[in-house]
Amino acid sequence: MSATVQINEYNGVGEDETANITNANMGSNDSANLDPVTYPISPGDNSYEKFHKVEVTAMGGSSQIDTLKVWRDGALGGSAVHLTNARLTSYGGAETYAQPVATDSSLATETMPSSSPAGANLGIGGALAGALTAAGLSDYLVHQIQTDAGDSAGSTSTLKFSYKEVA
Amino acid sequence: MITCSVCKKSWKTNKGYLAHKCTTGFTPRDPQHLGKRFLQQSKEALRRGNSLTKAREKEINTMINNTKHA
Repeated sequence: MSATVQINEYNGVGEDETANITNANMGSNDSANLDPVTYPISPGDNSYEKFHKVEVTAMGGSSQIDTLKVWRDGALGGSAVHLTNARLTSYGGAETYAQPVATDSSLATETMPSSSPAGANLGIGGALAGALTAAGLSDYLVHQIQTDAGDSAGSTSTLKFSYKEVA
Repeated sequence: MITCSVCKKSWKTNKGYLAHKCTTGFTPRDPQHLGKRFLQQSKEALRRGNSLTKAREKEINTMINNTKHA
């Protein structure tokens, strides 16, 4: 039996949690599971920041969960960029929640990897080498899409997560 | 300068660009301005997230049919 893992999203001034989200649609509104047609990102605008956490809800017989990795695949339109606080080096530690903004993020400043990174790029307990030995949460993953007016609208990327389970 | 990818007109500020009514008949903040591909992909994103109701699918299909550019 393997561990049970879900992704949670946090929104609003009150850090409102939506557990086990069904998608990470980025848009012009600070809300979970948003409708991208209702809240499109106009070329030239940014998406609202997303604040996600990986949550282990059951260890499933494993003794430890570690090596959290996050990346995306799929091409963005034009010169749009997808930025994050996740990184392999100079990790900033566990970010403190702040109400998501659509201005340039001060937390998401590193390009989101477009393939599986070589090692952990999202921390647990503030460190990339951190681990969970019981049900619990990762550090915040903060990410944002920033676009230019000349970008083509309509791209699909998949946000991917991986982790290591120790028996 | 900010140049619209659809009508190719330019503005000094993003505010001016975002407010302009394009040759699409819509402003850059309107989903129809973003084209059929955007609407189709957004519809599929909702479907993957199990949040595409029949009513919402019908609304988006109407937008797609009323959108002139790809």
